[in-house]
Amino acid sequence: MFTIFRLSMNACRECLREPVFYLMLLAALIMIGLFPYFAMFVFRQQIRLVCDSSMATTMLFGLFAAVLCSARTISREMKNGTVLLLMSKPVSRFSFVIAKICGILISLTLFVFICNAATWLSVLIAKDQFRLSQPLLILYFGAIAIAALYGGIRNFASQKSFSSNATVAMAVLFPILAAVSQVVRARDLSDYLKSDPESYMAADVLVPALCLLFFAVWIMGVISSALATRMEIVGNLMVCLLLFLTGMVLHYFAAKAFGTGSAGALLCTSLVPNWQSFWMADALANRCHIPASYFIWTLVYSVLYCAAWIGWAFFLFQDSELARDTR
Amino acid sequence: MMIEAEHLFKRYGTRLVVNDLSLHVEVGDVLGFIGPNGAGKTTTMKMISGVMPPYAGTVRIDGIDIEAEPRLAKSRIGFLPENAPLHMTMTVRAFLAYTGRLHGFGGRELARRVDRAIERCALKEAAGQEIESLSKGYKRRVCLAQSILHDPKALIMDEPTDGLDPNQKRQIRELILSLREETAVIISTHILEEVDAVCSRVFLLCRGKTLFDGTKDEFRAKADALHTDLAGLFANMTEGERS
Repeated sequence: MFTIFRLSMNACRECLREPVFYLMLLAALIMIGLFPYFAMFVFRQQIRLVCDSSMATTMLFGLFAAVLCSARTISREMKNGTVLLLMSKPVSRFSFVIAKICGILISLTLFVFICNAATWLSVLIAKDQFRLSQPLLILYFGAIAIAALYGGIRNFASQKSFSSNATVAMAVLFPILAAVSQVVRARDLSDYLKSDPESYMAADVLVPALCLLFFAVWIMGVISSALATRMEIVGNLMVCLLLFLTGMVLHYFAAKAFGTGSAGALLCTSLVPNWQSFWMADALANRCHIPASYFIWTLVYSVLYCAAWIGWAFFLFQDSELARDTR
Repeated sequence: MMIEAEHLFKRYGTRLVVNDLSLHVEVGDVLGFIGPNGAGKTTTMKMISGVMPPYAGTVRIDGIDIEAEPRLAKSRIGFLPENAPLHMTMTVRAFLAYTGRLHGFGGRELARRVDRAIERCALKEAAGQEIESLSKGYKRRVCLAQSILHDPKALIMDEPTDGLDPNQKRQIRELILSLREETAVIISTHILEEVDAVCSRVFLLCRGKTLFDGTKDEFRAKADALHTDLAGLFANMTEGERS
């Protein structure tokens, strides 16, 4: 158990140290931060557009981050031979696979956590269709700059990784900023305005929808990890993108072709993840609360789906020849 | 017997790369595992170190079957893979601590072992540096340090002096000779000079088949009988096998 913990912590650290991981997070945050600008003058649809765009950004960049992390921690270890070092220690192949997947999922969780906090802030920045909260916008981009500064100082002063330190700083700054801003906004608005969907997005509506994105990105992480035992980054990305796009539409067509709840539709849901299950944009637009039963059902679906792919990952890794280039 | 490999076979697809190989190494022995490129040396090393399962055959380390009790058997093995693969973003000390933790060490015991491995492999100057910034020789020594950190009873090294300068080669050879007192050592190499310098036994492999298994003196006597040197005998035996 300790071995798995140590390996997964190391895998997570490796992911966070990757400059590309930081750049991807940065790109996602800049986009999320700018969505309130893009969504101005849209006739009472601003918050909806900000939510939709931010969630889509989190999901898509989550997919890229998942592929990148798995390629960096699994494919690269197999290619450069460090897996040989680990396998010669008292570490089983099962522990290796589980630990790497756990490490990747931890770093992806951090990625989505920061993006979700940024989405929350972005919704608060979008005051209404004609105005933005300028102080909050400055704080948003200020937080990114402070995190980068912190990473730079740590890198310069003690040779620590810039990327991981800047990422951790953002993981601290963004949720604090979002929580404080939410409290201030809720206090400032009258009850009348709180009931106006254009002016206010309640936390109990937004947070469950954002939490569902964790499940989606975890599934992507596990799929890309399983593929990384046999594929390089490009092949992995292609297959993941294909599964992503297929998973967006397949269930709609399957339900049309076989009927909702039929064996054929169920088979499609088992083979390709139904990303629509994690996509709550319509519920957010109508300010609907996501029922706890739906949340639990989605969690169970995600856990089962991840478990199946972990089984695949183990099967593929068990049968693979290690360190192809060093042989 | 510290390292016992019996009737090992390995296939890659339909290609048989190790064909009925058996070897035994006792504490105090340094076995020079030689053969031309593609002979199956690295594959055999991987099977003996438990990294890769054999197609058929058994490997026992200190009497423990590596397939039946892999964790226990691997805790007795030190493995230095070819090309010294390492986690480049870690510092030397952090990397050694990480590999030590995988062996179950912690606290003062881990710190003591890391310090000792750093000292034995002459890594003191580089201990705080990122591995990526080190020279090839240092990287190889870091990899060697991780393989001896836990005092293994069986040390398996794939081309340990490849790419090192003459001084570094001498240091590594001295270290290997000092380790053999309490360790069974297998060294895979192309360099016959290395066999002459550190090995007590020679194991010659070609196309996965054993061509010679005996002491270094027997190998040299065989060369003398053919009025050639070790390189000549190597060429004679391996090219004869290939044709």
